[in-house]
Amino acid sequence: MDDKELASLYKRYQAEMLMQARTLLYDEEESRDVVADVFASIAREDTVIHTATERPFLLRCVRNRCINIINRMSTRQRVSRLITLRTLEERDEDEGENAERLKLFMEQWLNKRAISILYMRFVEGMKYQEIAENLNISEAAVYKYLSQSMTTIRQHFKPK
Amino acid sequence: MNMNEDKMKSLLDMLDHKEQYTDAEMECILNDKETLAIYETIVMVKQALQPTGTQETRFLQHQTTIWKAASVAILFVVGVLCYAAFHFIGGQSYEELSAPTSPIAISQAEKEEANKEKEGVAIPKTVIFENKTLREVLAQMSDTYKVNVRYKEEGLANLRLYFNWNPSEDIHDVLTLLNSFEHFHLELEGNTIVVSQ
Repeated sequence: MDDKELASLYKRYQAEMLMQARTLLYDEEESRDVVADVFASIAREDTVIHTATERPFLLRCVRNRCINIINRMSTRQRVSRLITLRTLEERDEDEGENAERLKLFMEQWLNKRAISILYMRFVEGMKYQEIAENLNISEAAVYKYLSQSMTTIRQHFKPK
Repeated sequence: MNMNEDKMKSLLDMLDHKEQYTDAEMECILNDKETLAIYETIVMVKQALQPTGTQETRFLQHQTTIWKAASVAILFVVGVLCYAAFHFIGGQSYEELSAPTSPIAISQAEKEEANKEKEGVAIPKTVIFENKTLREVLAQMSDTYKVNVRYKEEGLANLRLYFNWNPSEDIHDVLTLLNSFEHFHLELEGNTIVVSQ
């Protein structure tokens, strides 16, 4: 593969690859490294890529690299980014589907404020205190929302 | 039940004060089967609420094959909605019609409102566009980046998309990201974002 072809692949797929890495690693810099590494290894090993399968191939490369990184992480590293503690398999791909189902479930079972609080706490990583100040409620109320939402999900949502 | 509540509390507490726990303590807490299950549920909640990730990728995957048909369908729906808006709900304002219905959009709105009350935190970290038209998305961006927007085809403005925008990011990076959608192409020409097919 010559430089021109490689540059064109990069231009077309790097944004999507980066997005894929971000959803697995939750870290901007590491995600950028993964995407750069994929292209570096293609250039180094002179990998032959078929046009028909280039997209799934590139995304698969990103995914596998991310999984390798995650499987080498310590418990603390994973917990601080809220990454699963399971050992990830390279083929295991149904988490996206579960996430989609859980999203619908939450929209049905939880009220808007509860979902906002889950979002602030687990996606934005805000502290109880920050959330409490932000919404003008007590920290105890924040805790109550979180724990009740989690209990509802644990009791009624069955992942596939 | 009570025992599980305790486990929930200690897990949530640990997540909120990670620095106060040693690695061994952390592993010990997570070694419990029920606690681990709660943790994995939290992981799933995070994935489900994540605005960038899955939805966008799925959107892309899905659309690459059928995007032409989809655009026609989207435009048709938009057309019908406009028709409905003018003919049946004459007096209602545009804001009311496009009021965010999804919880994530509301959470953002709630937060922005809360932010406005406090001085100095007016700019939210990320802006989540969920099922917003390209027009709404670009209008907000053009305000921030102080640029104009020009549509080569007016219909493109009504395409709807999911996008997670970090306003502190450079405009070029943001446009590159947006260009990963197949439906449209954005280019910065001088001081104007030009939208083409």
